[in-house]
Amino acid sequence: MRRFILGAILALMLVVGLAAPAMALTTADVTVTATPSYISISVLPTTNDFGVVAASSTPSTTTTYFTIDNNSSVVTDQTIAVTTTTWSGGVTWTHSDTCTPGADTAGLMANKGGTWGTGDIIVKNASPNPIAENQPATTDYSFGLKLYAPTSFSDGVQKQIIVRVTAVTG
Amino acid sequence: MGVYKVKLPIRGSVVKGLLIIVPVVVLGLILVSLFMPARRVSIEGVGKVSFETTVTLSVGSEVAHANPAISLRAVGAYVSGTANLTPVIPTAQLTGDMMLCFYGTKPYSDAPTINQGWTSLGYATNGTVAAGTDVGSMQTRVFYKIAITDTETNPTITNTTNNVSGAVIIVFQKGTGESWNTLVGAGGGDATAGTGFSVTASSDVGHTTGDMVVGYAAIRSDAGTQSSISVTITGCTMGTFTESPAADLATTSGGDMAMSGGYVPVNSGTSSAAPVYASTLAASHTGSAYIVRLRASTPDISVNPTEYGFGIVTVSSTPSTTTTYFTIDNNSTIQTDQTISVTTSSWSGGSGWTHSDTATPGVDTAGLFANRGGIWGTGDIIVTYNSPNYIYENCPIGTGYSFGLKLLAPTSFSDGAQKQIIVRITAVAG
Repeated sequence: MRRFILGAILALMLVVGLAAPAMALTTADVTVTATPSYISISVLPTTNDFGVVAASSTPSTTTTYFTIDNNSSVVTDQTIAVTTTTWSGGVTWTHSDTCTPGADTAGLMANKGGTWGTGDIIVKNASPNPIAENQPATTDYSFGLKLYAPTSFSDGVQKQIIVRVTAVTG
Repeated sequence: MGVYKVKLPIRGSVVKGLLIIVPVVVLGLILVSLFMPARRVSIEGVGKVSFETTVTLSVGSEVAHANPAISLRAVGAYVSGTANLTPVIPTAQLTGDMMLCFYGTKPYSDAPTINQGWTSLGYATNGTVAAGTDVGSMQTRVFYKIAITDTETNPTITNTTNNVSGAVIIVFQKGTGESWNTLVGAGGGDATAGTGFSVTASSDVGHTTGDMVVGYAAIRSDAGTQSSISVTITGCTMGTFTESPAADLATTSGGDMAMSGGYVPVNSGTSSAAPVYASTLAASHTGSAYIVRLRASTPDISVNPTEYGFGIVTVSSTPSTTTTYFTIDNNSTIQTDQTISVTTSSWSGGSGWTHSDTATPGVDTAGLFANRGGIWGTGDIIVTYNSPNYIYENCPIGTGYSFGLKLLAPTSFSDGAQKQIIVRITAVAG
């Protein structure tokens, strides 16, 4: 009998629930979204020291040594360049945009997570080369750098140059 | 005394089992359907496809109007005479109440007027018999006013051809948040003298659950007091008719008259014929009656679609929908004032954007415009958080419309996280 009463109560609740009218709605909501076209990248580590280099040597990092943390909300085109035409320190080195080392003239190559020698990118000062074209939003990547040391040096002072990765809307 | 057992043709245990199992299974199916996820595909921004799993819960069904809560506030006392009358508004009357003044008079051709902002809804007669003592066709008329103050001034009814007249003011209140629907009514007459008084109104003004029906009849003689008053409507189940005031008006002023009536709620159903006012007269006479329908509602609107993504936006850009992208389905049975606003002062997501109530973009500060079916740049409405602007003032009953939204993107961003805000249309009685 108890089961019978329980069943009857459930059935009654069901009927009452279905019959109850909804309240009239005095408001109507629209959810609006927008995603900022935002470009933001950072790199780690931010320094690399090739140490003492011999003339005509080509020391390099691994091709995944530097990681670009890409927080861009849109597809980007990213280029790699040096910010000056020379390496600073003592008798400066000329930076070769063709990556052709010479007397006090050095070059740099980059490689985006591949194998050195395959797909190397010349790191130039003028007309930077792309390192990541159509890079998807919020997608990180890694790269490495290879130095093409001068064929001869005029002094032993440490040289320095800044490598810059630049992202623009792709 | 013997005990007899009745053996059912079907085993009792089977019947009990079914009575338990069937409701439980049905309830279970409903619960399962309520929580069953729905797959939805939405495309956001440029080439970004996302799959979402949503759970949509819905309860009940939409109704044309809210469940009204009309009830009697108070009724005044009858007044009568051969001169102009000043019926009495009961002191309990409050702002927003519906005040009805039923006025019975002869001759039938009287053209009474009223002051204090009252309006004549209509009248009915039972013929064209000239006024005399205990004879003559009666006019039953109703005036009305929605109270605009708590203490309304009694109106005066001016009737230059008055033989005799009587009047009463009955006041009704509505539920919180409700508004009065347009007042409607109809009447008729019973020109056949007899103790069975019956008037079928000239038309069915439409009645349904929750309505309050108010009817009064004026009889040609003071001997024509009424009992067993009812209002019936085919298709509707009526509540109990309350005679109000409880005692009839019976006057020997002028050519004599009597008057009575009251109110009755519609408990359920929908009318399919004109209402019938009936009563038993203490003596055989004729008269007329007028029946008013009271209805109160809350606005009822919905919008479609309920979401919009501007996608990826650049700084200082002003992407927009068409001005007819969103459609407001307006099921309100009352005129409404509708405003548009955002529900928060900022956009959520990452470094939230401040929402500008002046639609002035800035650093991480965005604005929104709305336009109701026009051309962007003409009649744009700022979508504010504080003090919402009208998107449709005095929106007619049941009139839907469309609108669009335009984003005024910030002049610079602090991150690329998707931002979100809710735009709300709010309808109130207009």
